[in-house]
Amino acid sequence: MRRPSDPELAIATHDLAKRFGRRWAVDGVGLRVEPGVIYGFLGRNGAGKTTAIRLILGLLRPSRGSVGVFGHDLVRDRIGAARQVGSLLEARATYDHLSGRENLDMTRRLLGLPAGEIDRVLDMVEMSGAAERKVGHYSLGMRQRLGLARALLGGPRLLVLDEPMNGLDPDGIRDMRAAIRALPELGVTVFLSSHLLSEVEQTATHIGLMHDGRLLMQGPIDELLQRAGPELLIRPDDPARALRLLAAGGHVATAEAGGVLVRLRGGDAEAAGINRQLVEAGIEVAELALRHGSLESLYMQAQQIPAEAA
Amino acid sequence: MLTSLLVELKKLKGSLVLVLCLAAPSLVAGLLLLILLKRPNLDWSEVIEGATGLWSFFMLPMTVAALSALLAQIEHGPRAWDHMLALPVRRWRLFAAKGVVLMLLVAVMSLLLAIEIPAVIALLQKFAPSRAPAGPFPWAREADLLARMWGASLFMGMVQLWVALRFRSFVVPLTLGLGGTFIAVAASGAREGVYLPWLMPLNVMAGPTANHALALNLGLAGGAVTFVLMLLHLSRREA
Repeated sequence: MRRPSDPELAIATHDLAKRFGRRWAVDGVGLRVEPGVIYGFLGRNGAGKTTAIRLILGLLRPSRGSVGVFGHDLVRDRIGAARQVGSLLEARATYDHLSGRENLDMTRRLLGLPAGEIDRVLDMVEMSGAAERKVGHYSLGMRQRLGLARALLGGPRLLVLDEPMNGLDPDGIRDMRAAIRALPELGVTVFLSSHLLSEVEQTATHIGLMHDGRLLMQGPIDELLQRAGPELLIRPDDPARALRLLAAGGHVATAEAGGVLVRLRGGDAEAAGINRQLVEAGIEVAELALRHGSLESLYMQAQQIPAEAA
Repeated sequence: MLTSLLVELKKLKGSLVLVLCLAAPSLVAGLLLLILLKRPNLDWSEVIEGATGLWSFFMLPMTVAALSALLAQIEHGPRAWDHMLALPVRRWRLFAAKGVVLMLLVAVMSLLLAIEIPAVIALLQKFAPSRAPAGPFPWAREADLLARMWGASLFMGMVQLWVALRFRSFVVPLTLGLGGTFIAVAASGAREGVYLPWLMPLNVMAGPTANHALALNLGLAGGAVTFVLMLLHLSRREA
């Protein structure tokens, strides 16, 4: 039975699943993306992010479940749903023998938009100066921005971006991040997939974590990070021995470059106890730093717990 | 639909498709010139049927195979289908525009050939009058043949385009085109050859084994049916 889509939500999927042969690439995903947010869709390569995005864009048909975009059911009303969405799936999906302006003009005409729309979106991504150049001569960063401009044609309410930072140099990442962050102020909801956790942490307001085709958790990033709890970063003289000692003591500890990271369940007292335990065992501690939970630690934790429990 | 067609035409600007459209009929015209220099005293009928025969037997099938592959590769190459198919546009229109553009290009090539054949004759009449056929150029016969060949090529064109749009690799439509042309050469004398799409353009010429009316009708009807089937298949297919 199909569930009516929730018009309040930018994206609402219910029990969304897609099977290729015997493998479920996406299995029982229930996304809830509220309007006006930047939703980071996280997961490592092969987690099912791109398949889920292709389902949301109507490029694949669900094996089970439903997708709603601002209340439009994608199977019953693909055109109505697609009118709400702009997408950037592949930066190289351009006609290299044509100029940036001509590339945008193709989509503009298909969408039935006025000619002035091209200049509007070129300004938004600061590409007006390069609009007349052939796209074949663009850098990857320029292609990404052109792709973003194309996705913004017609002022969609939802922007779906698949790995928008992929292959960009630091300047390109900074420009793309700034462009994405500005979009909610214009009333655009952004749904972006990435495997770059730190990048999403800096850009997104909400996240969803995918693993093996399942959505492990989703919600506002601040709330989820609080759930991750604080961490204690330790720099001992013998990290391997410290790691063994802490694990034997029942702590959740992982190796971190040149040190050990311990997920705290208690507060300062637990940190002090760990320090004492190490020192009493003859391990010298050069640094002991308390820090808030990161997206990385949240991600690592989430992969260790079943989706139902999350 | 008109917008999709216009967009499809705009994509051709500066592409290899246009180069091929110009080169293919010119090669036939160039070959005709060489033949006339080697074999003078051909009459008009031999000139027209020789040139259009070369066109329909070899150049047209191979050019249609290459054109359909190039048209499909405009999207396959940069993986632009995802972008196109995610737009709020009826998908069949995007694929239909490809089909219309392919047949428009075949029409343009036929027109170029129709101009280049008399241009070759005019060149000969000016510089080697003894080797050129005498009398007025039979425009009506040439136009009739090329128009029939165009109509009969619809079936072959739609089969080639369907395969080219279905498969991301350009090798598949090219192999089909080369294979089809090769089989057409082998089957040109066979009665069953009239049902082979790659042979239909040649079969519209009057000949001992070819039923030219049947070839034209099969080409048009088969092309129309294949076009509709292609649209149904591609627009329902997952991207």
